[in-house]
Formats: sequence, C-alpha cells, structure tokens
Amino acid sequence: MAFTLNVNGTDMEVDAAPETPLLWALRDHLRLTGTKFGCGIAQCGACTVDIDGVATRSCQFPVEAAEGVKITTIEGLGAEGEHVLQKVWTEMNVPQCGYCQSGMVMAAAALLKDIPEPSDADIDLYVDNICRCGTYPRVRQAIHRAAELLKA
Amino acid sequence: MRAFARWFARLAVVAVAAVVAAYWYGTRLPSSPFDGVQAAAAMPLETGQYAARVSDCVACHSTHDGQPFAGGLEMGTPLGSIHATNITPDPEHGIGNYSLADFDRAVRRGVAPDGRRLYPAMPYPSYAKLSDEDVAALYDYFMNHVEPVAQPNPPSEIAWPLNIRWPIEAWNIAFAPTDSFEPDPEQSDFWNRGAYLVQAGGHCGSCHSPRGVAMNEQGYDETDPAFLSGALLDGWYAPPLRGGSGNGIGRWSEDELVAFLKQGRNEHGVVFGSMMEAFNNSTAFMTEADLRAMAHYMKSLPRASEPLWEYDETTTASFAGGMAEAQPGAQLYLQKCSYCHGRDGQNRGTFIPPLAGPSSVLADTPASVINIILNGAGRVVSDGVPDSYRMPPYRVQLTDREIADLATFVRTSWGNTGDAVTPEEVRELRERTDPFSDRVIVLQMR
Amino acid sequence: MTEHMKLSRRGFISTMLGTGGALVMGLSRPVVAATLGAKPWDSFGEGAAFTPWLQIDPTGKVTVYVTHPDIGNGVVTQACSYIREELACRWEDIRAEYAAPERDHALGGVYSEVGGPLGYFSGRSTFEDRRTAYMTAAAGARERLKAAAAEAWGVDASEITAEEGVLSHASGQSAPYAEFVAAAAAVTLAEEPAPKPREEWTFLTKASPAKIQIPEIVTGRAVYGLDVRPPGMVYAALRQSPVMGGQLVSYDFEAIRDMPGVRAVVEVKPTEPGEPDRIKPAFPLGASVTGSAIAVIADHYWQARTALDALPVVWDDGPGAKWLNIEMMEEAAMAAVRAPGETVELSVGDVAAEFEAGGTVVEAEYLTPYCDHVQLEPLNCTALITENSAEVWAPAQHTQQAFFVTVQETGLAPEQVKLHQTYVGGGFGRRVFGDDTRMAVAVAKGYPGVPVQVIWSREESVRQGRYRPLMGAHMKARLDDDGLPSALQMRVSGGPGFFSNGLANTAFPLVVPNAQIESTVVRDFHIKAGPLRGPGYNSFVFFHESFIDELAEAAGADPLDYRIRIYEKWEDEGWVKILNVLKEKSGWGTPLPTGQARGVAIGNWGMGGRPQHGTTLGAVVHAEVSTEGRVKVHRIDVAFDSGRVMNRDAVQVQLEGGAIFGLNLAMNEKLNVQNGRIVEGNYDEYPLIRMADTPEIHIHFEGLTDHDRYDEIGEPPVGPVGPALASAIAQITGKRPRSQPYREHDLSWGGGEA
Repeated sequence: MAFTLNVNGTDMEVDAAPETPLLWALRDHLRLTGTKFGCGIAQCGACTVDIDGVATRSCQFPVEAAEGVKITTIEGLGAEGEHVLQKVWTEMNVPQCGYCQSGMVMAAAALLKDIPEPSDADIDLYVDNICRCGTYPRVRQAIHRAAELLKA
Repeated sequence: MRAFARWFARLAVVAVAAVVAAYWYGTRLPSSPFDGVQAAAAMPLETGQYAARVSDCVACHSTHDGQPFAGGLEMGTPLGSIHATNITPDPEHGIGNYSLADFDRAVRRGVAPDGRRLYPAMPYPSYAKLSDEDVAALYDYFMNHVEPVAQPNPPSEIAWPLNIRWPIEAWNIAFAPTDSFEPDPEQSDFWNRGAYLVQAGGHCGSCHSPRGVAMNEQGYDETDPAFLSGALLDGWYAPPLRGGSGNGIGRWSEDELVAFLKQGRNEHGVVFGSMMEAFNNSTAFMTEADLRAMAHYMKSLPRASEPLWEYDETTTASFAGGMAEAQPGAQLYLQKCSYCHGRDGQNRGTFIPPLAGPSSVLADTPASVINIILNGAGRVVSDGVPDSYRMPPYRVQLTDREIADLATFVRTSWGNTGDAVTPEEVRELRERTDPFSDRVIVLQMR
Repeated sequence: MTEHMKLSRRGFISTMLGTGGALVMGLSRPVVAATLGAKPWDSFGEGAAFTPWLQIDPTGKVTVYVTHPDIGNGVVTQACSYIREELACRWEDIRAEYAAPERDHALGGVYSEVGGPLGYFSGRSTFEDRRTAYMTAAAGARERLKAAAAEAWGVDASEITAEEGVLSHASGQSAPYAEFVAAAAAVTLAEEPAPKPREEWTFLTKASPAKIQIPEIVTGRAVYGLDVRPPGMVYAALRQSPVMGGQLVSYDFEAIRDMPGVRAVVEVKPTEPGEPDRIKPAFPLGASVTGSAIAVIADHYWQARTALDALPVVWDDGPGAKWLNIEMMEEAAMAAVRAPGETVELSVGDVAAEFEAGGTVVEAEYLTPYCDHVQLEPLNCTALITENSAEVWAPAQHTQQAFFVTVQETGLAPEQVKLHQTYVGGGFGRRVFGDDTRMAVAVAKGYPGVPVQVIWSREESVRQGRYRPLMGAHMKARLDDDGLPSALQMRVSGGPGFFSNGLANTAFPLVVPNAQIESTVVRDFHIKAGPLRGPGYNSFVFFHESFIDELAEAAGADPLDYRIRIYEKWEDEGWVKILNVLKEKSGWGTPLPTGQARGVAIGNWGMGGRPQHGTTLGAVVHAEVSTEGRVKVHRIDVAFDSGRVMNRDAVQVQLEGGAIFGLNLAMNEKLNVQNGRIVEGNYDEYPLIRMADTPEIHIHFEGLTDHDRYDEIGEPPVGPVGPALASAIAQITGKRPRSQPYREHDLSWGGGEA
C-alpha cells in the first residue's frame, strides 16, 4: 500500500504493508538511516523520532498511522549540525560508540521544547533511552549546557 | 442415650443409603443419542478440524512444547492442580477405545466411559449445546485425523477425599444444563448461527460470564442478563460481550467486531491475555461468515445501563510544560509508556491500542491492566503471521508500587473511570503469574 | 625494539604523489607477487606497493589511515592525535579513514605487524608500537614540507618552523602546508626523523580532543553496519538453532513463498569440524565457526523478518537441551570447584600444611552468570558474494579477522576479497572473533550476485551470543595472628572457553605466602563463551575482592585499611596509592544514614602477574538499600593507575561508562536457560541502567604513578565496581551477595517493611 509521509518537512511516498513500523519505512524505504534499530520493542529509544512535537519510538509506530502527522528525524533536526544539542554534543564529547545518540538527541530535543530549563528529574523522565556505553553523565551535562545556551 | 443411639443408627442407615444412591447416580452413564450407533464413514479432515478449532480443544488439551492433544496442561484450581487429559486416539492413554457415544458423553455431559465425572474445567455445560453433527464431526476428527500419542496423563494433585468425583454430579444437577441448542424462531438463521457458535463450541461464557460461589457460570444463553456480562478469570478481566449499548463492544460496529476476531485487532483494541490464546488458536481460523454471525448475535444482546465513557482531554494537556509536580503515575507514564501510547492515550492505527476508554481500564477489577504491565502481551498471529507490536513486560523493571501508580494513572486518565490500584494487588498477581515469553505460540493440531 | 626500527628494517618510508598532487606518507616494500593481478582495492596512484599512513591533499587536508575500528573508545581520534603532534597541522584539517585489511594482506602485513594479532583490534591505541608508527610517518611528512619550503625560500630547513598547518621562517616567509604539498612529495630526506621524545609533546597528554566522528553521529550521517546501502541490496533475517549446537531438520518454504517481498530461504550448514585454515588468522578460526542456521531473504528487512517468524522450522536441539534450567548448570559449575581442580594455575608454598595448622579459616563460594554484551547495534553484516569475489561491509571489532573469516568461508583467494569497516554500534568484545561476519558471508553465499544485509533481530543477537561465561569459585583462606591471610586456595570453573588466563590479573595471590589456584573446565556446557569487557577479570575481581572483604570482616578490620595492609606487600605502589586516594576523596569513614554504606574493591586489568603493568583501578561505591531490599547507588568514586594518560577527557568518559557497565553487570545482568535455550531476548527482560538510575561518578586522576606506560582504560572499571557494591550491601543488610546479579537476591532487612 502507498502511504504519503511528511518527513522533515517533505512529503515522501512509501509503498509498504500497513503494519510496517515507521522505523523501517524511514530506514529501508526512505534511506534515512540516522534513526536506529536497537530493540524493536520500544525499550531502548534508539529509534526515537519527533511526531507532532512528541518523542515517539518509531519501531512501534505503524506506517498506517503515520499519514497526516509531521515526522522529524535526526536528519531533519539540523542537517549540518546547527541545532544547539548537536553542537554541545560535539563539544562535550558525549557519544561513545554513538549508535544510541540520534535517539538521545531526539529525546533531549523534545524535552527542551517542553521544558526549556529542565531539572535533573525532568531529564530522568524525558530521556529514558538506553546507552550501553554509559554516556548518561555526559548526556545530562550536555542537556543542562544546551539549556544555558538557549537561555543566553 | 439408647433412644439417641437408635436414632443415630437409623440416621446412619439413611445416610449410607443416600450415599450409595448418590454414588450410583454419580457414576451412572447418562444416555446418548449415539448409544448403539456406529460412527459413520470417515469424513473429510476439514469438517472435524473446523469443529475442533471452533471449540478450541487444542488450547487446553496440549502444552506449548508437547504433541497436539496429548494433554498435560496444568490448570490451577482452588483445591489443587489438575491436568488436561490426552485426547489423541491412543488406546491406552487417550480416547482410542471410545465409542461415539462414549465421546459424546464426555463432551456434552462431562462423563468418562467408566462413569467418572470430569471436572467442570472441561466446558461440557457449554458443549451440551453442540449439535449431533458437530459431535460426530469432532469424533471423526479425533479418531481418524489426530496422531495417537502414548503419553500418560499426569495424576491430579487434588488430595483425598476432595478428589472423589461422583459428588460432581450434584454440581451438574444444580448448575450444568443438558438442553441442546434450540434456535429462537423469532430470530433470523444468521442470528441463530451466531448464538449457537457463541454458546456451544465457542464457549465464550467460560471466561466472559460471571461465576457463582460454586464456580458455576451465571447463565448459558441470552435469557439470563448475567450471560456474557464480563468476568474475572485467571488474572485477566474478560469484558462484557453484550454489545447492544454501553462501553466496550457496545461502541464497536459489527464490522469492527469481526475484524477483532479475524485479525486480532481493530482501532479499539488488540487481543491480549487469554483472548490472545483464544484468537491465535480458534477465532483466527473461523470463517468470515461464522464470525459475522457471532458479532451479529453479540451486538443484539442488551446490556444494563452504565455510565458512558467520554474522552477527557485534560490528561493530554497536563503533560505539557514540566512534570516535576505531577503524581508518580503520570511521571512513570511519561517515562515508560508515552513513547508508544502517546500522551493522548489514543490508538495508533490498529496496532497500538488505545488506553483511553477500553473495557479493561474501566472495569471494577484492575487485573488486566496490572497483568499486562507485569507480563506484557504475547504475539498475535494473524493469517499465520506473528505480529511484532507486542506490549513488553515490565515485571523486571518496575516495582509493585510503580506498577500500581502506573495502573492507577491509566485507569483514572482520559475519562477512564477505574479505581486506584494498590501495590498489594500487584504483588498478588506478580506471584501468581508466569514470566512472559515472546515465543510465537500457535498450537498445531496435526 | 621500537616500531621505528621495525619499519626501517622491513620496508622503507617513502612518499608518493597522490591524486591531484597530494602528499602521501607511507611505507614501500616489495609487493607479494600474487596479489598484483586482482587489485580489488582502491589504488593509490600507480604504485600498488605503497601503503599510506597519512595523506595531505593539495588543500592541506590531512587523512589518517587507521586500522583500529572505533567502538566508542576514541581510538581513531587517538591515531589522529599522534599525527597532529608530529605534523603540527590544524586539528580541524584532520580526517580519518580505515586502512583496508586487503591492502595489508597484499603487502605482507604492513599495517598489522604493528600490534601482532591485535593489529586490527579496536583497542590498545595508546601502546607504544602503534604510536611510534604514526608519529614516524607524520614527522617524515613534516620534515619534507620543511625541506620543500626551504628549497623555495632558499633557507635552511632546520630554521623553518611548522605550526598549526603553517610553515614559517624568521625572514618573514610564511605559507600554509598546502603550498608545498606537491613539492614535498618529491623530497628525499637524508635521514628519517625520529618521533619527538615525550618531554617535547605539545598536543599529546596536553589536549583532550573530542572524538572526531561526533559531527557525523549527531546528524545521523555516520554509517554503521546496519546503515550501508549498496545498490541492489536485499535483506536477510536470520535464525540459528535455538539451542546452541542443534541442527536444522526441516523447514517449509512453501508456507511463506508468496508473502510480500520474499525472495528465498537460505540454509546455512554448520562448519565442518576440523576444516583446515585457508589463511593464517589473527585469532583461531574455531571461535568463528557457524552453527546451523536459516535465513529468509526479502526486498525489505521487515518483510524478511515477518516471513521468518511465519516460516515453519523444525530443529533437532542436540545435547545442549539436557540443561533444563540454569540452576542445573550452576550446580555443575559449583560441583567442579568442590573437588581439586584439573589444572594447577599457581602454586606457592604449602597451602595444605597451613590449613592443617588451624586458626581462623574462612571459606566461601561465588558464582557469576552468563551475560550478553547487548551492544546497541544488533549483530549484522552485509556481503556481496560472486563466483570470484567477495565484498563485505562489517561493523567489526577486528577488521582483519573479519577479512580472514570471509576468505575462510568463501574459499576465495585473499586478493579476491574486499572488506569495508563500518562504524560500530558497540563492541565490548562481541565483534572480535568474526563469527557474525562469517555467518553473514555464509548466508550471502546462498544468494550470490547481490549485496545481502544479514540482520540478527535483538532477540537473535542476545540468544546467539558469545557470553561472559558462567563461572564458579570456591575460596578458602587461613588468617594469621595479624589477621592477614597466610594461605589462599582458590578453585574456579567454567564451560569451555572460559578465561582462566585472567587469573593472573590480580596481585592478591601473589602477596599471600602460600597460595594455590586450580581450575576445571566443565566440558559439557554447550553455551558459547567469548570476551566481554574484561574477560575473566570481571568475574575474578568479584571473587577475590568479595573474599578479601569477608577476610576483613573475620579479622575485624576496616575493608579499605585491610586492603592497604594486603597490597602494600606488592611491589607496584599504584595499588596502595589508589586506595589512599579513594580513602581521602570518597568520604570513606564519614558517617552515613542508616541503610547506607560504602564498599571498596580494587583490581588490575592486564598486569599478567607483573608489577607496573596493566591498569590498576579501585572503586568506592556508596549505596543505599531500602528495608524492602531495593538497591540504589548514590555515588561511585574511581581512582586508577594506567601509568599516564594520553587524552584526559577520553579517559574520563571511558571510566564513567565502564563504571556504569560494571555496575549493571553486577546488579542486573543474567541469562537464564530453559531446555538448553537462552530465555531472555530483549531489554525488557534483560534490564540496563538508564539515566534515572545513574549514580554520581567521580573519577580521580591522583592515583596515577606517572610510570612510563599508557595502559588500557576500557576494561579496568568493570571489575571492581561490582564487589565494592556487594560490600556495601553486606554492610547494610548483613546479607552478602555471593552471586551476581544482586537484583536476584532478597536484600530486605530489618523486617522488610517499607
């Protein structure tokens, strides 16, 4: 079946079964591989994308429900790394292997949209992604730093 | 004293006589229309196989790793565990020596060839309504199309004297109807077909009808308002199947109901818990025409009036702009659930079910909500294809209190009208339920 | 012998003019004749005999060729740092590329001889041989640039300075490197410059550059194994025998033939036992053999995976199915340590005589479970196999081993094989042996002519691991009148492939006057073990340090002071220095509320029985246990001695991440077994620490002894955090967890009410 998805501001056509998770439509059909496959059951957050302003795990979001919504992936957050989170992530040496980080950044971006100056507790609630390398302390520091930069 | 002794002796005689009579009655073989009848020539495989799928024999008479119909599934009862028996045509351990009449008595009356009464875990009070044709088809299927398996039946764990079977006959007299299905002449053939499937083979009431103090189902057809009015069984809440009005399937169309039974999902919900097993092994295999008839029948059943659920948007709005002051359940929902179920609690197509408004969150009992958070959902197999939208179990990740907070939040948000859930309720279910498995479980019948 | 000398002897450093006039620094040597014909790799200019280490293009951009795949530890950045130190170019001008293993092979191991079997391994980037190779090449390039400028400006090359990519002379002449790149390529130096002595370093150990690939990561452009998309690629969903060692009996392709996108089913047969090696591998190929497997190939992964789930498959489970549950295996491991071991690993003095002497004897048994790496990127690999070529894209942790297993599995000549190293979504030891690459190649062989991306689902990845082995230990010690052990007996066991070599990674048995260590292999364990972030070490530190804690308790001593008394006998001062730093910095001894305590532990990764080797690391864990038994870790203090550090920030983040890894391993991780199958498949049942569970972590650099080494950082923190937490738990609850993970223990105390 053909579906029209609005991804990063552009309408794109995907021909896939209705139950196909958005993750695979993005990665395999649209070749937007920045959104990662980690678990397939919405436990790790590596596939986090923004759907209408809410961080959503795309591995458990059927493409049949993805029409008529606005989808933003890591590629659309700041294609050249211009988003404040991308900048502080780079400066503060946050990623290790980096595989979970597009999901981390997308979760953090949704957090900052909701709460421009998040507390540690807010970060705990909004960024529940898994990082096997253990970048959590740096992710936390980087989110605080980004909030400071946004405020200034 | 002597008078008393005489009185006592007389009483003893009467009592013994009564026991002997009851024993005789409780072990006698009821009659069968097939008494003295030889089974007809073998039928095509499909005939009996379909009847067996409708009646979902395999769900109880097989284990996940065992041979089809070889029995062995453990069933907990308040008195101890019993095991479903071997119903393959093995002559020693199975039903190989059963005549058609023996088979009929077991299926429709709950009586073994030696007169032993079966435990009513076997839904013979529902199967009593099976037609002679369907019983003969089932017999043909088990005798001619199922592989014999020489697997002994495990002994039941119910201790003497509670394991004496003949007193079950008293339960049968009190609670188990023996009437065959009588079509309602006022209704269409279509309606009657649905009623037959729901009441007889489908034995929907086994889970969906409330039970009395003796575990007896309250009503076996639409004449009883309790029939299919929702019940709690094995840690899952089976919602009302009376769809004439109200919440739950009262809000579903017949088409949506058919989709649910055929595909395992629609925009209102996805099969889970015991219904996932009933779907994977039974309704998924039924014909569209039969499912339509069942849906038509269910939608015709009137329902006691109840407060109607209405979506409340304030929950969704409450997520915006900081959760520091929110209740712990809302925080946990944001942290663990909102990534799939959204802040609005609405469905995502037919694959992510809504948490706003379904029967299981509106019910008096929180069992299903707790159970599915604890243990997750199994894999729904539609058209032979397992889905991959499964609810993960949170048994390992969340404490009793956290699950209680979360369940409370879900049951009281978006207009849902459930009560608060306590950690004790979670602990009890945690102890009683098995850890989850993501293995695909469709029991093969051959 | 330094690498500089090796290079001089085996080849000669030279330059060449690259495409568009680039300066390429590298090594020339006689080409192995057989490799000249095929030339499947990208050629640098005309001379296939040339192996580049770095290239400066005419705009001044510098490319560094790196053999070590970066698995998140910053090894690529480290290679660039060596170049930056000697070349004095601008950091922003440096980029890196992986050095192709086929070129290495064609040139007789020109890259891989630096580091031996670990030449293409994802770690040890700070070891001297590697460092010297890069710095030699960069110094040569710098001097050539100077020589070229000297020629142009008519001055002496020794008067020219090179700084931030600019050559300048006191006369006022100044030009960016770019200007002299072409000329430099033609320069022949009378003598190749030696790398700077470390006293003259201005960048190494001073600057802490962030990983150079981060801009690609945060924009989603970094290409991991799962992200390669060669033209015409199809996808394969893989399933292996659910019981390791089992065999495929049958499957029914007809049941899925008509499903959308389905192209084929490929069966993979187990590798023939005793198959001869077709190439000399880095690690024995036995660790990479394939088991029985089946794969569905389809246009899209989702289609392949769905069809695989629907494919009826019958397996013969094989002998492994006899292990009905993990308890059976645990009992077998423990039974093995209750009798004398089959191998004596260490024997000093007379342990038996000491035990007979009486006095205080302490005995305890410990156990660590099977654990999976659960690296975030599930196993995968992409391969295009034809009759006479193989092209493979692998997220390998040892690029060369992936190349070797491709040669082995295809039977092709090495020069027909091309291997692309991709970014790696976590390694932790899982992607070292190349079993994943080999399986993917085996599948692609069955569907030749198009690239096939073979993907393990998360569940498949977890259930077909090469695990941290299940290991048992029985410890026994006698205490002298001073409370210190006079005799130590340790018996350890594990399945085939468990890491008894890690036993040499502690000083403890070396400072006890009488010590005997014995090991036993439980041969019928069918579950495969492999290296997991500190193989062997992450269990042995738990055994040793938990036991020392019990000895301290028996001696009535403070656990930290007791360790100082034990380890001050060891000739490496780092141990005591670390313990003293921890004592000072962690708040050790300051009172804590009821229900909280601090525990300490220390270990060494890589010492191999020698002082001043490896990295010694100690941790203090401050934990709280609720009366219901719920554990919360508030703070971890880490002090360490790797000698010196190259990149302070890189060390800091590795130690933070490693401490979290060690904490999770001890607290949460365990695989269960049911009828020979691994039960857990995904993060729902195999929980990992998340943001909200992450404690405050303090890394203390004051433990460094400034000994002349830059030892490893990834593995060391994984060992001590677990036993330090066990110690804290024991102090709070009176219950000492002697097996991991601790979450399985009932740790309620004081009546257990909330």
